[in-house]
Amino acid sequence: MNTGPGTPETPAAEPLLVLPEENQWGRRIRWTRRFLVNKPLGAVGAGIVLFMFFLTAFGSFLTPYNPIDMDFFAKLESPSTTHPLGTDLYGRDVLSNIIGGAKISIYVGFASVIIGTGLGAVWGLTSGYSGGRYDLISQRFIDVLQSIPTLALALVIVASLGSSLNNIVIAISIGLIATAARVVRSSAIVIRNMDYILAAVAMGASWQRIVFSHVMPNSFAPYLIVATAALGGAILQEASLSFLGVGVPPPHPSWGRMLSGIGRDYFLIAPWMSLSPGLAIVFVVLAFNLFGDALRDVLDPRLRGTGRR
Amino acid sequence: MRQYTVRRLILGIPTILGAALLIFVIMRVAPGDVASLIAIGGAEGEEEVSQEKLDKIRERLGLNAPLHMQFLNWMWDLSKFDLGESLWSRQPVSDLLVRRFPLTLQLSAMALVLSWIIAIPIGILSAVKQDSPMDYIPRFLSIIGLATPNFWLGILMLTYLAAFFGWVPALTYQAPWRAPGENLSQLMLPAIVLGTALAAIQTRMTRATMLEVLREDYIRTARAKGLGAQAVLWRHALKNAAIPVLTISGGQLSGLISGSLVTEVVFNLPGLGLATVDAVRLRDYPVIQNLVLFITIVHIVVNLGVDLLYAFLDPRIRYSDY
Repeated sequence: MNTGPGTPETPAAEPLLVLPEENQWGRRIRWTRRFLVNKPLGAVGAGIVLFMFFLTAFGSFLTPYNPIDMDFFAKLESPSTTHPLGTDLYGRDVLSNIIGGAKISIYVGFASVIIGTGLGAVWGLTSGYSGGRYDLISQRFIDVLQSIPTLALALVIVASLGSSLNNIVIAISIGLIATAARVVRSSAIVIRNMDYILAAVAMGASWQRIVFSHVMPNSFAPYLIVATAALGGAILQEASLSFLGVGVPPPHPSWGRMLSGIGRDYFLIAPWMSLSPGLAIVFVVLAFNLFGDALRDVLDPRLRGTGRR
Repeated sequence: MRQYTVRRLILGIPTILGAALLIFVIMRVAPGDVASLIAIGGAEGEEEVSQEKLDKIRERLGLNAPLHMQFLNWMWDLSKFDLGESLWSRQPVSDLLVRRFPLTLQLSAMALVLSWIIAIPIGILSAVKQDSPMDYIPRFLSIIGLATPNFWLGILMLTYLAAFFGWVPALTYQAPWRAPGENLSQLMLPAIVLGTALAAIQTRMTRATMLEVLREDYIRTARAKGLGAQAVLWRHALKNAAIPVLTISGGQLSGLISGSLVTEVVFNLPGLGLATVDAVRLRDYPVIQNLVLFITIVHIVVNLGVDLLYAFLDPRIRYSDY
């Protein structure tokens, strides 16, 4: 990536503007600083996202208890110093489950977004650049993929493959292909007709070179916008599937599952069981959305202020 | 307009067929044999199942035929409106559809109307009073609303709000034509849950389009000719801002049919969503396959309807080829 994401308007002029002695890291640091100052909400979101990464990496050292350890002498305990967020129906520590669930959420969210939007981006890039019959046929495929509602599609996939951690990732990622393919395709079509592509063709560049070193880097900004916007949705979807009882299976802690099952009958007398997983979901999805919105505003000024679907 | 309609209708048919094929393929890549899964009764690690029993189940499901024949058989049955029957209850899927769909439809309609009641006035207010507390508070709430899972909001309402008001919903679902009052009180909370979720997006959309429209030349003209602020707002601005909001809600309506799925589970409402989730839990293949196809067809048809409505309302769309 040698085109700075901060200047999507002048991709063609970029190599002329970057002086040989310009330090790439200096530019990145300045870009980050500007992002933090101009987009305080996005910065807060980014901070929470980083904190989630920290929990994912080191959560297992921080959890006071094993999330799945039951302690029948400590059932339904309210928050205390030994159990900061209380315990559930089986005496499992809620805080440990929240931290464990963070790891699962991040894993499912990132894995499905990387796979789903990645596949979609490759599809959109190739079909947008090559055009013709291949483009026409793949557009119809994308139509089909998009015609099945995301949650219904995920349910069919889970029903067929069975619910395991990686099958949930597959189920969510397939629902993300269409949007990414659409967006990347339309930007590839715009780029295909740019003068610098014509110049590259005239210089005898191979199509691989054109696609990978010209079209791909220049359609990276819209791709990044779609991918970050999809993260919050993917995490919500994992929570929904787990809540429905067809999501991440039991040995793994999951925020969605903490809110389902017979534990629900005790929510009235043990509010900590229902509040903390829900707040965790809201918090994380909010962080991803804020970060995604800020990134979109910075990368694509034309979209500023319009409603997000 | 007619040409546009015809073109869109023609494009819809291969999409439905493609979706059916995709659903079929996904259902058939299941690791392990569906028949043996049914024979064991869904549980794992049981004793050997007799070959005879397996053959009988395969015969019943038509699994002996080659794959393409299985798909064509399914399509042939569909063309006769024969949706097969549940593996467990032996109930025809079409019965299930007829009994379960009205509830989902009613819930979706209530949620949509509620979302307009919430979103449109707040969105307008937010745009007119831009950068004031009347703008910040709704925007803050809608950002929170976008991040809140429906099922959690539903659980909170059902557990705490209902307990606070001492309100106990009837345990069994009451049809609107039998007990309208009971039915409304049952569907009120789920409709609020779904409606607020929709409103979160619509408010943003209303605000954004109103801000855009209010800067247009024709608004300035209307003001210049001495029209009152209220008349400009309601007669000129809202009419133009309504189109994108309508499109968004149309898209939401098609999403609602499947989106009410989770909410139906939370409130234990026997709609299409609960039926689908139950079928997935039981791995009731014919039911899943047909219900998901039905949901997809509704999705496609509603989206088509919205696009046509959009083209009808905004002539600029009609004449442009994508």
